[in-house]
Amino acid sequence: MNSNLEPVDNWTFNQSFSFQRPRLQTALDSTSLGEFKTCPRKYYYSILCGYTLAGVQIDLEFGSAGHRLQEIYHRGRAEGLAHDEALDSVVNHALISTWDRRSQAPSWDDAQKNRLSLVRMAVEYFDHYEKEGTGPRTVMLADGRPAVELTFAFDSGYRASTGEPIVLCGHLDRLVQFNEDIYVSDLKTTRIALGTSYAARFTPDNQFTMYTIAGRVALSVPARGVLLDAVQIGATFVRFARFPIPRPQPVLDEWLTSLPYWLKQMDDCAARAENMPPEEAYPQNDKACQLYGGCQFRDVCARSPSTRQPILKANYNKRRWDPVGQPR
Amino acid sequence: MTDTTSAALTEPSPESISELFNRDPLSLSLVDRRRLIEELRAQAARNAAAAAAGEKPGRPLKSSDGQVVRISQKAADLL
Repeated sequence: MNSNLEPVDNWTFNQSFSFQRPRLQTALDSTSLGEFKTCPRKYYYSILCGYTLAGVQIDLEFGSAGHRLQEIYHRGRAEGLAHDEALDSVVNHALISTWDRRSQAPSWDDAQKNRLSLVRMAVEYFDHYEKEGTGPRTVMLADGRPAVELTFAFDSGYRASTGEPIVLCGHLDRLVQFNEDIYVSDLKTTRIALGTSYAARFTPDNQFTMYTIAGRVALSVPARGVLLDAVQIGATFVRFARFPIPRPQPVLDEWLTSLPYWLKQMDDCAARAENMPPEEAYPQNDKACQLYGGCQFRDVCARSPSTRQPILKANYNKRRWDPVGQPR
Repeated sequence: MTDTTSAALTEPSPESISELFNRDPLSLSLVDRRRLIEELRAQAARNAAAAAAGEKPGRPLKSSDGQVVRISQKAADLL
């Protein structure tokens, strides 16, 4: 029976992975590359196997919902809706997408990131920047469409040992004109206070550098960097700050120069995994276990290798990760 | 011990917000959503006024009878 089948690992039947070498990812989004840079074992668990902690991952889900609301609003505005009309579409979507029809109750119950704070964020955020009136304008593409929720993919220039090209890919929230420059706009929601120290964490940053390169290479716009729209979510309030995060060309060049190092490491791990237990082929970076509040796999890695699989199966779900085949 | 004056500054009109948020969203009309948006705008204005007066946004506490109430951070610091 199909119900007895275990979910497959991500690298099988997946167009973001090599057809020649198992586990070799040939289409990399910033999340995949970032996970590998952080810790090859973390990349193995989260991207290759697709493990994610069971239960609601509220930070991820809240962030994704914020991106979706932004897309709805800016598409609506670009298509001629007035501010209040676009905001109504946003609120309607936020209410429906956070309602559990089975239990007839809101689907999130986090003290800070919940249904109310999502709708509050939407109302205050879009009102705030509408009133400001001098905010960034959405770039219109040559074909007349607003540059919102753009999918990109471009050749990294690196060839894997199998001869296959490695592609960099992903999604950009929006391209905006801010003052005289074009930026990739990205929304981040956080629980921590906004300030220069918050903005500083994005330089250097794998995702923002890759997005700037994507703007320049894949979308052929002279992106100066990322315009970070940061939103602090509190239990009873939201706060906003906007930070231009520039990426000068020498910084982009340096990132691209170091990229083959990481891609080769990834290639080598996939090759080694053909001749040894795959988990061992992706080594732990045990200096990264405490980062960002603690790795979600810390409790797994803390155990002896032979006892890890039962924990993974009991406490983690599997998710599909296919950057080329599945839109965000 | 609660500071009801500060609570009034940071708390939305509770019935309207909770009623709207606990209804099936498919049953909400455009008018309902507009009311919700206006409630949230009013709350934002109250928070902004409180911030201008030197208050920080409120945080929830439990009163002696177990009810969750909300007081300002400034008042909480004095408790």
